[in-house]
Amino acid sequence: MDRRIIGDVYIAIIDKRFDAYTACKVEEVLKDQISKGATKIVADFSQTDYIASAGLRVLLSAAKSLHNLGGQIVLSSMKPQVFEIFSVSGFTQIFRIYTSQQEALESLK
Amino acid sequence: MTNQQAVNSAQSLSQLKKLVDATLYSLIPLMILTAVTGILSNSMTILAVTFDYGLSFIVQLFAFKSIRTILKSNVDKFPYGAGKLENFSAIVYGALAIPASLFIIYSSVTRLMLPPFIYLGIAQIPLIPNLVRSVLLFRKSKQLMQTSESPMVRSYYVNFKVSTIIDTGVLVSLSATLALASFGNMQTAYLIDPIVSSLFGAYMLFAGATLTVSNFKVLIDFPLPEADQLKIMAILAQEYNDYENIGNIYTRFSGQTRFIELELYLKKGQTMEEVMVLSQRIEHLLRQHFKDLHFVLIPLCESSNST
Repeated sequence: MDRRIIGDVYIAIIDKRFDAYTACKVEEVLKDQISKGATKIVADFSQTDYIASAGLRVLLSAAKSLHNLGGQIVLSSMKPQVFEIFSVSGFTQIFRIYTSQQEALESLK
Repeated sequence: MTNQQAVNSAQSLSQLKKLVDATLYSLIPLMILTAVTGILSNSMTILAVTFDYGLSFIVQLFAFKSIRTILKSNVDKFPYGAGKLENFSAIVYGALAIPASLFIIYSSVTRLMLPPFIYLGIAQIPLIPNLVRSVLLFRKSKQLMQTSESPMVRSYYVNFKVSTIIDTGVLVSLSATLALASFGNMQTAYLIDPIVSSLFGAYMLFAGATLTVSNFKVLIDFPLPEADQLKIMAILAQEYNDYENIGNIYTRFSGQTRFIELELYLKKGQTMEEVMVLSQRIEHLLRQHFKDLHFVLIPLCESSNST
């Protein structure tokens, strides 16, 4: 997983597959960032072709943790097949999803 | 479980033990009788029945052990019984029944091509006590079914129901063979025995394969498929505002039953009543997708949430 920091926003660029294997790594990184004080996170899905329930669980947990700290996580740049999973599982009701990383960053300003 | 329910459960188990014991003890002399008669009469049908009895004997030994394990345990407080042992014994039966049935079918087909001489009078001897035993045990298991919900009782009931039908079929067929032979139609008479034994072998093959596959699925736990996991996530999304965070989600399925254990961090000040309502609501939503469900909500307190 690639990562970037722009201002006070932490950007996590999710891998091609966000499955049980990669979810553990993403969870570890996000937990670490949140514990270090990050309150604004963008999860960029521009490279992601597949997301499993394990990936959704990590995002849900991160969203809850950030919400409790007054922060938030927003999602961006999803391919249609990934958006479909979010839609079917009702996660579009929980997360704000933007078409580009730039839009996501602006929403957090 | 109330005291009355506990008493009823103990009585049912005691009755089941009697049924298991009667099944095993009555099987031993019949197994010996059919083996001796099968060899002496040269009837393939009787030899096939002997094979089936031999395999049933192994299964009955497992049942014999299982029921004693269950009776020794505190099943009213820890009601898991020894179900896996029963599933394992069924797999053993299935695994042995498949090669045995193939041998029976092969031998029957060989005999169809070249029918051997059969001592028909002797072949009838074990069939009558076999049928009497099946009918008596079928009636006993049917009686027990009315007071017990044990899967073991149910399997005995089905087993003896099938046994009664098969024993009747075999007895009628071999009696027809004897009648034909007494009227001098020896050629047709000697064909009936391998036909009946090949049908018996085909039934054993079907039962063996079905038992092996179905019990393997119950014995081995599999992870829940991704489509089911997504349904759980959808429910968690639906209930998003009513918990603090999620912990681990333990899922598996065994047979048709789906096991879901969900760790949820509770909100500050959330009462036990609210947690119960949330648990019931999640279970209700899960049951819309999974009919055969074992659900547990594991409430966690906020301080143990590390993030």
